[in-house]
Amino acid sequence: MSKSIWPRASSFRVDRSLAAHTAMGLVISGLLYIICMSGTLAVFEDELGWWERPNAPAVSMVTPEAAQNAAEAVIADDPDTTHLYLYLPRDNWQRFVIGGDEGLYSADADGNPVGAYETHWNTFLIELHYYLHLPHNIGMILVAVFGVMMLGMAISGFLAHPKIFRDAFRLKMKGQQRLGQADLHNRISVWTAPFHIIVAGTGAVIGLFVVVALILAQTSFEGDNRAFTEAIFGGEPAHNDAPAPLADVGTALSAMDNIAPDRLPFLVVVHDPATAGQHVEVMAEHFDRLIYSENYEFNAAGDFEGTAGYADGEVGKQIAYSTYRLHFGDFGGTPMKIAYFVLGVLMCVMVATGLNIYFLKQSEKGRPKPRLAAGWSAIVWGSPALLTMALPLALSGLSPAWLTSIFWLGLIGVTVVGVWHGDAAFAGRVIRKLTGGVMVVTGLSHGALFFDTLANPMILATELGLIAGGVALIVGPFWLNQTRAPVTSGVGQAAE
Amino acid sequence: MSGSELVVFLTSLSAAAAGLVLLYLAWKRHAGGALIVAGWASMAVSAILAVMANADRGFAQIAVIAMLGVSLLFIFMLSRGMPALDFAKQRRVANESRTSTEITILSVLRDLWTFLLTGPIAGIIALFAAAGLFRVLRPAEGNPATAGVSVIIAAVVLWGLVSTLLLIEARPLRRTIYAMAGIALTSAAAFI
Repeated sequence: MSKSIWPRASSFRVDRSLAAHTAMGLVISGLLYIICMSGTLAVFEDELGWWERPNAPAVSMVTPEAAQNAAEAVIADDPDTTHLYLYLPRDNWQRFVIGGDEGLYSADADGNPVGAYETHWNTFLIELHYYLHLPHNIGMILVAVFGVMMLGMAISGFLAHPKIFRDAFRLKMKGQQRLGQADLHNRISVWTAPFHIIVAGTGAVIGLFVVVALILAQTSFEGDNRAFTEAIFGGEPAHNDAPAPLADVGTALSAMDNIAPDRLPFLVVVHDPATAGQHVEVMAEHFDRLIYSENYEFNAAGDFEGTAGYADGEVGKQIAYSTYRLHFGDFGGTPMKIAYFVLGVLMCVMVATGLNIYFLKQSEKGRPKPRLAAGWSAIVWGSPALLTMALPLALSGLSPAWLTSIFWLGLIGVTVVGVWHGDAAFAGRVIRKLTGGVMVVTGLSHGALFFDTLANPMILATELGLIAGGVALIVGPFWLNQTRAPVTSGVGQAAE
Repeated sequence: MSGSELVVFLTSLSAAAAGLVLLYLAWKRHAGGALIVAGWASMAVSAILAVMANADRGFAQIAVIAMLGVSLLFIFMLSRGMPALDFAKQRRVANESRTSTEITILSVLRDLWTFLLTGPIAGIIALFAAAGLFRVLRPAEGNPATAGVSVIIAAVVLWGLVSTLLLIEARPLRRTIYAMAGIALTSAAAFI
């Protein structure tokens, strides 16, 4: 494998590609890291929501009667709702959550609401990953642009490293610090390229859909903003607001056993409930497809009317509906989510080492920037630390708005202190140990508070994960070889 | 998955593992063609079997498992320790002469400013190009979903690509000409 598979690259083009890669990295790394890190945790969105509310009734199966009972309860509580939702239990989420426009409730196995379904930390995390806590319209587009820029980083990265495949397995951890970081950065970039390109690409497609739809509306649909969206996701039937008895959700759900026996219904939506124009949509997972669901349509009497065509319709519809599961790794149960989590952590390492390389290169050139490097270290370790610290605060009842303020003000504060102190290693060490302590205390106190729920393997695994991860951070950094890295030979050593 | 599908899936997994081992051996021994071709062929067989076992979901599952396998290898290598980083260490005297192709602080600042400008410009070019492409791809009759999704993906890829290419162009005048020409051409394709 001595020859590169790439055409021979000119050093000028490589230099310019590297300059482009560096410029992009310097601009986007901070927020990109936070998006990657929050997305890595958001893979376990369902499981963490379950952990946050461990006392809500565990429901493994919902009967058609219980579903109808739940739907009646929602419409009684929120008669003006435009949509009615029944989230049915799955293997990794044994919950029955119901609600309408006014909010969601946990329900028991009979479909009776037992209290508001509030997962403050989970909401805070999702708002961070999807919108960076900005207003949704702006936030989603901004996050999508970061996905685009990550694709740009991948393109410029491959152009800047013509030998990247020749060195495919090289990971030299002894010797110069920068070369070690560069090896790590490049190896992760190459071997997880399909992952980070797909994750960035699907994120960008999800977020930019609205923008492209608006432009296409002007250029191809005579200003009709809904035409393009409806071509892919279908339109709503005509409204008829005349009052009517609530749709027969139970009959629709029981019909699924015959219509799609191998599919798992996980969400029932009643559109315009208790009106003459109401209809029922049952979303079911297809275990041999990446599509989010196939949507089975029923009329108010519970008679099957057809599918939306996400499993066997236009190719474009199938691709559009596959983006969610591809983005969040929800296509193989908990094992696939764990794999996505590991790859997500490596993506964070890739972003972090990218700027480390820049700072080390600067110091090698006689222009060390220890304060900026310390600020970067504070962001890298401080953002997961603040997310962790938000966990016990959320459990104590703090709202997502408070958690948001604490996260961002805390991150600014940690970064300023890091820059002021100017020691990246010290900043990383202190923040890691603090995070570890919070993780251990959170795991232990949550376990003690909800001791009776520890029989649930998912809750127990989360507690143990928090405690073990926390101890590792306190005891660490075991991944560092603390011997001094050798100095580059043949150059001056002004400040050695 | 049925029993037979599971067997095909496991065969696919084995083929992926074999492919990775062959590629590793090719790298380790500095061997050329045969091992590399065999490695990639094995990966291709793995991909086909994955689709046979569980359609597009099977392909994604095998791809993730393969990436995870290599990642775990690197994590194992990392577990033997990596050097602590010292960002304050100055390794080269400040007045040492540098070659002209080196990235300097001024060039980085210039590239940063350029990126802040070229990013949105590349976005405009990509979105207009996507709109123009849609007019070509859209079927005369029937559902435009496939054409629509294709151009959304094209917009994302083009945005990333054009941003990079504009940044790679070193000469500001040429970069400006490329950007203006790009906007003019793509907006014409989208609106006229």
